[in-house]
Amino acid sequence: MACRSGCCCGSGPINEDNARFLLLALFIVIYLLCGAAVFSALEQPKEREAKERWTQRFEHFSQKYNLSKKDLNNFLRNYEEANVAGIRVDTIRPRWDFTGAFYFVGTVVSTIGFGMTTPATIGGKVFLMFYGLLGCAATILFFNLFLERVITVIAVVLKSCHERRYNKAVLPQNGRRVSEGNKSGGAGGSGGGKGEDLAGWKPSVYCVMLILGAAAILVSCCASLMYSAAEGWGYLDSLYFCFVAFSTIGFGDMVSSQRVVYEGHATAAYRLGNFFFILTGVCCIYSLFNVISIVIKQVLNWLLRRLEAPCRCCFPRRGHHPHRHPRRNVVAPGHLRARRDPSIETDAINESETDTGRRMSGEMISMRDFLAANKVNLAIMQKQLSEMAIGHPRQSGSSSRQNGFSGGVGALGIMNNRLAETSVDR
Amino acid sequence: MKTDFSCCCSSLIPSRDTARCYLLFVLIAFYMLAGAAIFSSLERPAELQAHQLWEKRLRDFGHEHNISREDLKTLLLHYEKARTAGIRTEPGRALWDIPGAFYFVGTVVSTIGFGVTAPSTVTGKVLLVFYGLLGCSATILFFNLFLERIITLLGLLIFRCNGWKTGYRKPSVYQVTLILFVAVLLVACGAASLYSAMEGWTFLESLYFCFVAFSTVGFGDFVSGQREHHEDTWETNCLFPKSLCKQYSVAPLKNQTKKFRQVNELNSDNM
Repeated sequence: MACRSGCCCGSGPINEDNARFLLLALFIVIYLLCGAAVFSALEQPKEREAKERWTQRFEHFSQKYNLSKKDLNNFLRNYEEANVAGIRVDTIRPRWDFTGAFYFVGTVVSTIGFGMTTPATIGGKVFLMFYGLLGCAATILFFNLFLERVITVIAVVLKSCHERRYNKAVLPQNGRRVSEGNKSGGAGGSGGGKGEDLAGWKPSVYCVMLILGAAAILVSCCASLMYSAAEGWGYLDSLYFCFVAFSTIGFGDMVSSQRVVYEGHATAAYRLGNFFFILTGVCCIYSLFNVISIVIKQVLNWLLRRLEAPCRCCFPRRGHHPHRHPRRNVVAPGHLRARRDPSIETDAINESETDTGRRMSGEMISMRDFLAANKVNLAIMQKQLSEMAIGHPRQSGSSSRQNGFSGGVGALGIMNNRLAETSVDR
Repeated sequence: MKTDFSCCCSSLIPSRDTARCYLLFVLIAFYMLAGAAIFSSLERPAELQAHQLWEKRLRDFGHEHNISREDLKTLLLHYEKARTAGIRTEPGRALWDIPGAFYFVGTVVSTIGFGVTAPSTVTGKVLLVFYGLLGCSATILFFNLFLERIITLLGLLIFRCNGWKTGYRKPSVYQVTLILFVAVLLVACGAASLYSAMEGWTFLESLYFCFVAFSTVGFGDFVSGQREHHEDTWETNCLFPKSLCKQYSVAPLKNQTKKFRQVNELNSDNM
């Protein structure tokens, strides 16, 4: 496809999905490089300090007791070996009694992986590989299902708040219902019944992100209180530990619940609390990450649109995207046919997520979005189509919301409708 | 499944989605209990042995050089602190020069988190929280998009292999899982041979490291690229992202198969 000069046609032959993928890869690399520079500047001085301090102590000790450096190094190497087996200077709880092994298994399946307990035997390592494969997959599924449930609950709650507000505005003045309906809320300009306007309503990504963020902060703060009381860490250190654990990074520089006994005979309660907080925290933060990733995806879509805008004249895209052209209020048969042929490269069947980023208000509904998002049967669909043909912009409000959730969230959402087993039309 | 009770019991019957969540939770709990028992029986003897060995060594060293237990403990405490700053008996690479910091942020955004390098300044820790929030989300998105691209590509390949006969059909989750599995095995074996050559680990240890790293568990007992050779770190660092994506893709696909089996169970319960 030849292009005129003067527009950035680098994205010409690349379809949108690949472009988005590459753009994201580029941003992540830049993000990593910047992060490396900043962290290096922050931490290098302290590293040098620690090295000097240790060298001094090493010298001092070997001189004081007249040890050769080799002997002392050997001793320290032995200690390193012992460290790997889980031994520390202060006595800590056993690694591999049942509760210790349970903690270990928990860090494996959640993929936190603190590293305070690691298998030493060959049998253990081999077993871990198979055990982890199934366990991690199941736990990822659990987190994804939790995410779905949380979003459903939030959607239900927000919707009922929305309905209540809508009712307050509409019902008292029955006489002027139509005009009121046109003015009230962004839920839709029609004067239709309350159920119809909010039927397809879904919460906004930003709303859910704020709620999840608040929940994550709440859980972290409560957990930090517990940790700083029980472990004797500072509050800020406990917050840092909470983030590292809940995001499943799990450095292992600080690990909770390692002592044999905690004061106040609260050992069992503390261990239970630890388990509960880590479980809740990981669920919240995992959900938060996924919701933020939807926002990032929308930003990428927006960027791609900005980059492609000057190039639109240059080439007729195979990906057609007719809603870039002047809007039409009717779902024309020609469009449907073109859309139904699955353009494999542009992945046309599955763009419900990206479409919400592009649709503006007063837009028509595409057939495939109905099928993918609502699993609506044919009769209802015909009813809605006929309503639209009359010019009844019933769904305009709900579909105009750029909520990003219509395709589902997270890894499960990505696979929604892309595999034979996850498609509506098998 | 929902029947109409006149009392409020109907609100207690969970929907199918919630029931699936609970069922999965219970299954995972049992899986973890069973795993704990097995690991405990595998590893406990070795742990007790290691304790005895260390006690003996500590005692012998103290006697041989006439050092009190207290002084040894103090030294070891200092050494533990030094270890968190990255010091080891073997001379290793610098931790916080630019390549080291790059490795560190890589382990952060992928949520592997080996722990070999961890921020020790307060500013570093605070920055980590905000940096990680955005970085991990972007990387999760990256893995998800990678999975999507792979599925599209595989669908296309399968379509072409069928000779355009039956029209485009979406790939089955089992096909994709199998192909990804084989790909992960290939990458892991390739990486393991590289690591065992460069790091001096045995092949099994390298495979174990590959699994632990690619699944983002990241214990930190084995970490690649920590020796002072600088030439090999680039190769090992480049291998990481590809294999991570593959590993990360296999898990969600296994989820789907699990999910369908569960849905089928629940469905058959309903009937």
